[in-house]
Amino acid sequence: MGHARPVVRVVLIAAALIAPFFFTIGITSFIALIAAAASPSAPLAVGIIVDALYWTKAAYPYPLGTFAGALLTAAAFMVHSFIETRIMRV
Amino acid sequence: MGVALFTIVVVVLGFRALLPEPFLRATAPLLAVGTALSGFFADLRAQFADTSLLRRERDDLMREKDSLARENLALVAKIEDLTQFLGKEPAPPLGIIAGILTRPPESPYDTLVIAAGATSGVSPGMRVLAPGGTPLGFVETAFTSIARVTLYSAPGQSLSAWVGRERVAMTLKGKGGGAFTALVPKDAGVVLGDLVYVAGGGALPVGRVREVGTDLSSPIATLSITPLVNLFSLTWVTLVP
Repeated sequence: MGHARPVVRVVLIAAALIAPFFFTIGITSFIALIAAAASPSAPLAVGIIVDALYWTKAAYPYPLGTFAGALLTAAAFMVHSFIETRIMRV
Repeated sequence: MGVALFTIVVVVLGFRALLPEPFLRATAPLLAVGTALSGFFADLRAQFADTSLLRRERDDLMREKDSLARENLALVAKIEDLTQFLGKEPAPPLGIIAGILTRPPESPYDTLVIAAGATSGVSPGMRVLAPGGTPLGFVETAFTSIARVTLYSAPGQSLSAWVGRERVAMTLKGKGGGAFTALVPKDAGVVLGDLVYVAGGGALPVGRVREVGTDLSSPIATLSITPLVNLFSLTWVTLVP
């Protein structure tokens, strides 16, 4: 995906960013995961948007969406760096 | 790309933190479209459902409706008799009706955003009732024309309640998606289908026991409770003080 056309990357990331408005959390997470291939920080951005829209302190003690997004982003960065290293060796 | 994402996130966070009401107002149309879309897709799924199954379901519902209508008539007569004996009870407080902009499952935290705010008389702490008077939650933040509601079924919430004919006292804990969980003594006699009540102008039913989990080594039973109201199809609520 790192070599995918910029238009595809932009569309994927835009879809992930607007998903919290339109879809359930399951579908939103799925789209965020796909968008992570285009930009590793997409899941974190999606998590923050989900929390900005829906999180209240009374509903949950901490913003779970942001933490989950941060975890996915960390994983996506590791995968990206691994893939880049492999490509360099070849 | 990373810089652009970072900018978007900072703008969203800053907007929400510094101008919470304009943020909700700006996002309200999108949230309303999302809620309408989820209703549309639910209808679409129903179109493709097995028609014989739907017919059976409809017949069952018609039978249930007739039986409930008869039961309702008997209850109305009973209330009239009791009112003659005891006198009229004070009229219930008038509520504020509010449309829902977003609800679960779009909202993963069991929160609602409703289209009524301080100008309509909404204030933090007001109780939120579903059509039919089932308690759902409370207003957490009220802006001028919009308010945020936390449902009792949100994962961070707990609530005093009773279960079954014996009205066994317990604490409901929100599980998300409208569901609750609670712990009761194993020998309390709670069975599947028992109603769960919360306080508020008498005992108000909020859910039904769907599962009673027991462990041989423990004197406690864990109840799984499903809500009486389908949160996923709610379109309006009533707010009362």
